Amino acid sequence: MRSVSAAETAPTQYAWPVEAEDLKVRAGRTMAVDGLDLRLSTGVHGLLGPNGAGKTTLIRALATVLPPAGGQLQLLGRGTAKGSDLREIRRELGYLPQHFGFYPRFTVREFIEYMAWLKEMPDRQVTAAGQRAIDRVALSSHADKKLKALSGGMLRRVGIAQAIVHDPRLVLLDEPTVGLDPAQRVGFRDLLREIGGDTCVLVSTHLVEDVSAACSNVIVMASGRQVWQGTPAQLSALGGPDDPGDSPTERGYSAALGQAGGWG
Amino acid sequence: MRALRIELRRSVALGIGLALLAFGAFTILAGGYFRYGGWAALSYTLRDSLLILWPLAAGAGAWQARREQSRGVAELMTTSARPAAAQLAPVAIALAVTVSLAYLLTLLAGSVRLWLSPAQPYLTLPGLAAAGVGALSLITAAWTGLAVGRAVPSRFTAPGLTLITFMIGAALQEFDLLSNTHDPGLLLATISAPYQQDWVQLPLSLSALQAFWLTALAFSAFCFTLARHRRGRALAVVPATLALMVTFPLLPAPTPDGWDTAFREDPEAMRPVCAEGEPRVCVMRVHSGLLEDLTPPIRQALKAMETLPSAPTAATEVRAESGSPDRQTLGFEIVLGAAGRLEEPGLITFETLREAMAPACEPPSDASFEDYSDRSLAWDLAGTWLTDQVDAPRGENWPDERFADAYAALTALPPQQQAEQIATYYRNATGCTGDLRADLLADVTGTVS
Repeated sequence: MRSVSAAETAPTQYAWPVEAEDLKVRAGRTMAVDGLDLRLSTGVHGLLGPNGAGKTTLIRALATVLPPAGGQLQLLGRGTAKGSDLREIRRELGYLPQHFGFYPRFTVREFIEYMAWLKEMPDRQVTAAGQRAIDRVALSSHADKKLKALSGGMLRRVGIAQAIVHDPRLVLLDEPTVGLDPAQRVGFRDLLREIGGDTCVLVSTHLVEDVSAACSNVIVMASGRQVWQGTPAQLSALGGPDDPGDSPTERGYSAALGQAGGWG
Repeated sequence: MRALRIELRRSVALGIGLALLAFGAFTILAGGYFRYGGWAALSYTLRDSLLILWPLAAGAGAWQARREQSRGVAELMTTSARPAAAQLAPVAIALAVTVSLAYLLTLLAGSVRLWLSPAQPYLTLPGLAAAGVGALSLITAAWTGLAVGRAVPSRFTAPGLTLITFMIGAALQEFDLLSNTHDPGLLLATISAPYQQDWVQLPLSLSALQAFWLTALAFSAFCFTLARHRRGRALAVVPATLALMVTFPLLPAPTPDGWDTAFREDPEAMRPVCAEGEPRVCVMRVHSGLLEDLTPPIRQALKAMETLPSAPTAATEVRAESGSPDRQTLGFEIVLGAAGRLEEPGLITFETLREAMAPACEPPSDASFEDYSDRSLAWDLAGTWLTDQVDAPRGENWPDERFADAYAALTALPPQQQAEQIATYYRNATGCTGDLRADLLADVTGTVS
């Protein structure tokens, strides 16, 4: 039986898990996110955009890696300026970076448990939570293998497992399906839908079909700003026969970018 | 505890701990002053080996620090709830536990070996404190390596740091780089001692001083590892800098020949402990476990000297650099062999008597090579005559080709004359009078020319 985490039982004190207003974030010398307004509720949100649109910079800012250079940012009802607020946010945050780092000598189980410890999960819950996360990404048969022995797709699943091991309220996944084979991607979409039932999940991806299959909401970014937001069905409806793409969602995505002035 | 257990298994901590343990065991088993002493010598031998252990621990720390940097884990760590200090703690503690345990286990293994030997360990608080400082020094080394590795996350940092710290340690020991009035080698807790015997100790005050400095350095290294910006790193080195300013002027000065003078004689270790019965035979407290084995051959030596003029009536252990305390007391030196046992127990009587027959004074300044040679031959003849152990080894210049003929000529004399000649030699040798050559070699001169 699945145990119930504190995150699921505690009352929420905020209307929006993610709330940004005129958010600006630098990536080096570039203002990669420049005046973004965004409100995300519980559910799975897909973040689409061409290269250089600012998706990864936005995800890193929401993951509290990069500080805002301007505007307002509230995560889980807290600002990101104070250390004490940051700690509370990070306790409820699951994050899979685009370039996922790992300790090669750790086993899958050790790594997941180590990350749960880093998230300040109570020690008595760590073992069960680790096993549950491993089961959810279908890595049970590889749980005691060292990370250096895993394939790229398996490592990506380990990355997803570490992001959800502590049942966070906010999950940020940057290109989570890179390296996954088609069957694994289908399984991952199911997992996303399951997590999104009570959690705010933001998934950045290049793969439009992942968004249409798993997300309840889509955000399209270009040049550091949000240029379109709606449901996958609305995105599909946006596209016309002349827009580039192999599926209605891809044509809708192209249309959204076209309305914003091109591919960035 | 969970994270610590994982780090103990998966970090370099276990590997470096085993490496230090292997090197430490090699040090105490294969060489070093431990061979010639007891627990104190063991402790100080290990402190001496810090010259190698310190760089190894520092290199391991640097290698460990690279793990976090090179695998891109830093971003995940940044977004975790645990404070940076708590994140660093498991790996820092894992390193501290394994390097200090390796040091202490080596010490324990040597101690067990001593406990099984006749020379039972003589433990003192200063000795234990010196061992503790050695372990603390290794923790400091590992954490310093962590700090350097975090600041310079390159594959060359660990081997480079190992090499550089070894060179610095060796330079601090061998040369007075920083000062000729204070011994900077003590900053790394290494010891270079001219002799490491059981009746010397490092004073508690010095161990406390070193512990203070090493703790400050470890704290600075920990803070430096945590610091993300230049200002934080600058602040991190403040505790170590202040501790250095306090510690350095208080370090003992090296002697002009380069040896440190940190060691002090331990009066309790040197307190005489005597065997029951007569004649009285005493050893230092630190060698009391050997008294039972030593007493019979020493008393045999005293008995062999009974007929000599002003013969000693008691015997006591003396240090190599000091002679007998008075004419009535025979001094003998204890030479320990492997595992704290007596070296060559069958030669104790012979060696003691030979040393007792040694000329107390140097020959005249204008003495020729032949004079020296003849004095040495006379000394050998007298020492051998008392035990008749003709075949006993007598040092690096043995065998003296003339000895066999001279000894045969001496023992061919009437017994009374032999005894008189040996007595005359002994009186003049110990009283710095007469001609030692004439005393003993006059009647065998034809055979020794």
